[in-house]
Amino acid sequence: MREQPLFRRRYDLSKMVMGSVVIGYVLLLILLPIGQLVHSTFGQGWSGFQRALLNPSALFSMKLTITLALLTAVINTVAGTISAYVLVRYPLPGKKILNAMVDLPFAIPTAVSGLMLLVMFGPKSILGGALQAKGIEVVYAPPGIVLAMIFVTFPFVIRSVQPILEDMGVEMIEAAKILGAGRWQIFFRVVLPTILPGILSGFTLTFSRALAEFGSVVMVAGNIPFKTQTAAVFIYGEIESGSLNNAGTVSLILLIFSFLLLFYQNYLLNRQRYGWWQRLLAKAGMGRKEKNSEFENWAI
Amino acid sequence: MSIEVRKLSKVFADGHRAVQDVSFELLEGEMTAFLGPSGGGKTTMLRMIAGLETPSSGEIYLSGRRVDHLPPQERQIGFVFQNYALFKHMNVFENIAFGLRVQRRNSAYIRERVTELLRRVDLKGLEQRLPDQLSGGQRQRVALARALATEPRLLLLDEPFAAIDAQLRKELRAWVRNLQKEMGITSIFVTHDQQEALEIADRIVVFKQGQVEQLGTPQEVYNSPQTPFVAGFVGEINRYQTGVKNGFTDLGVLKFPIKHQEGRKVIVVIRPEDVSLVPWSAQEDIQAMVLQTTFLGEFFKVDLELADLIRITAHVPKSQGIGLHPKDRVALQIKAYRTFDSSGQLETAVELTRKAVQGESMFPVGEAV
Repeated sequence: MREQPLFRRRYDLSKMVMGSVVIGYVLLLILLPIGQLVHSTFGQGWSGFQRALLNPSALFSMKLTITLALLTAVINTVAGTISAYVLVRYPLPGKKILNAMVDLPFAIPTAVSGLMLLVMFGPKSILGGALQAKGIEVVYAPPGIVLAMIFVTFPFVIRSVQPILEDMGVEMIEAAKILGAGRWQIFFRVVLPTILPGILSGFTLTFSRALAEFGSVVMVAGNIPFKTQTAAVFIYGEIESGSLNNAGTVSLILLIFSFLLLFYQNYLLNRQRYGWWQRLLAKAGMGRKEKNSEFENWAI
Repeated sequence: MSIEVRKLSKVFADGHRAVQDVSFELLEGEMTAFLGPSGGGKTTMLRMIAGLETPSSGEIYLSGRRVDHLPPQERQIGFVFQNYALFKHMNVFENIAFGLRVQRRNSAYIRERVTELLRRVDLKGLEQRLPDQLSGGQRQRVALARALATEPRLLLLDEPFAAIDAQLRKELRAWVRNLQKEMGITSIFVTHDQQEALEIADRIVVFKQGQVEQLGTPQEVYNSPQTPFVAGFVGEINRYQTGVKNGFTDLGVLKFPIKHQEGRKVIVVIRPEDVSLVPWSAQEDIQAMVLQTTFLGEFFKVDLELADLIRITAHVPKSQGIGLHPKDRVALQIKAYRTFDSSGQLETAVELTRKAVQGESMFPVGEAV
């Protein structure tokens, strides 16, 4: 009986220590650097920030990055959803190996990924030569950037859709079959709405990761202003040439994007259990709201 | 809709024989229970009728029409899954309406039909809840309403009450039973709970290791089990494996006449409620000593030891059980017993009359099979 309070006190102490360590860690590694970045960027005041932001090459790099990252997210969302579906539902030979390989892009250093694409699509390779002969530029051009982004972010959608599909099991599909639904009806009415939270979450992750990609992009596409200079590459270039103000401004914009996406992502995760679209449908479709129901607390 | 199954077998890819050469026929409008231990093949059987599993061989007829080659979509069946399998992203209304939407019914009809079903399953006012916001019993009723929405000709329920707590289960099964009677829909449910099967089924099919052990009304299955397995699975039994000696079972004081070859192995089955206790007297044939009494609410379960260390369990009324203590000496009367040969075929089934039970004589009166 005497051991118990002793044990509890030790536990409380460890909780305090661990808590302080984590808070200190977050402060030191995340909050302080962010604060310093904001402070340095606004070193020349609001007008300096504005000037840096409206600088044409900065604007171009941001537009290019967002466009290509969105394109990447769309492509990987479609490809990733189909891949996840196949990985879960179909008995493929060597499925385990295939499944393990999905994570490779996370493990490979991004510079190496970039180099791999460079040698594959470069003018000296067979594929790259053939494409070039047809006038399609891949390396040192936007398609190369998209390829690099797609490669690096490939696992996100698969890994966020896969567990939901596995969790879903076959019963809902069987139930739909017995109720008369055909293959496409089952997909659009049952499977897709169920995995939609995972798809959206994967889309967000892919988009934010693609926005930030540097290593592979700079390898494949280089640093050509007004052609292949993405935001991350622009930042690096500005630092190289000593313009902290420009680099900081674009960094802040990227940072704000990341925060918004992170926020949205968490929002999605919190809402995943019920699904916001469902509540919207329920609200719009059925008119009278049920008293005492939890819908009351779900105003969006 | 009547159901006929002919020589149906299912062998899974891993070689497991879930159902072996099963044939039976079920009548229109009846509630049938598939009863058996887990792994007995009853769920596989149900899924084959629904079209969720493809039979390895054999035929299934619904209302005389062969359906085993049809996909589940074309069988006009309602199915309630063990875990309900509700569409998590749809509210109650949409779940129930799913089958009708798939059939592209007009929205006025859908609204009317779903409202009617909601009233039937007593869920009015919960149309907009999502499955996550319902209790187990409510979910089950949504699943039932969803299955009934398209007016199926056959309703299949896979362990429908397994995931519900004991108190609610009793209410729900009485309720499901009433609903089924009211709508007159042919139904089959899978269960491993013999009480459930006895309570709400018109007919019970007892499965064991992929084969049908017995098909009959609850009374037939309980009172006239055709195999020792059925006797033991539906109700409790005392079971003895013994031989034949001089035309009687070789069980010491439990001596029953048997028309069987000398020395053959037989199985004797006696239900605890067919063992009655009478005050000890030297004249009685079977004397016993009480080992233990257990109070079980409506009756006492009494474990007894007979003269040559054979044990037997009796169920006795409360009034009698209360006065019994370990080491008490009593006498037994066996009101009914059944004997089976070693392969499980029924040999004799003997019911003694009430008169005999009351203590005049113990000669068998009614002898069957």
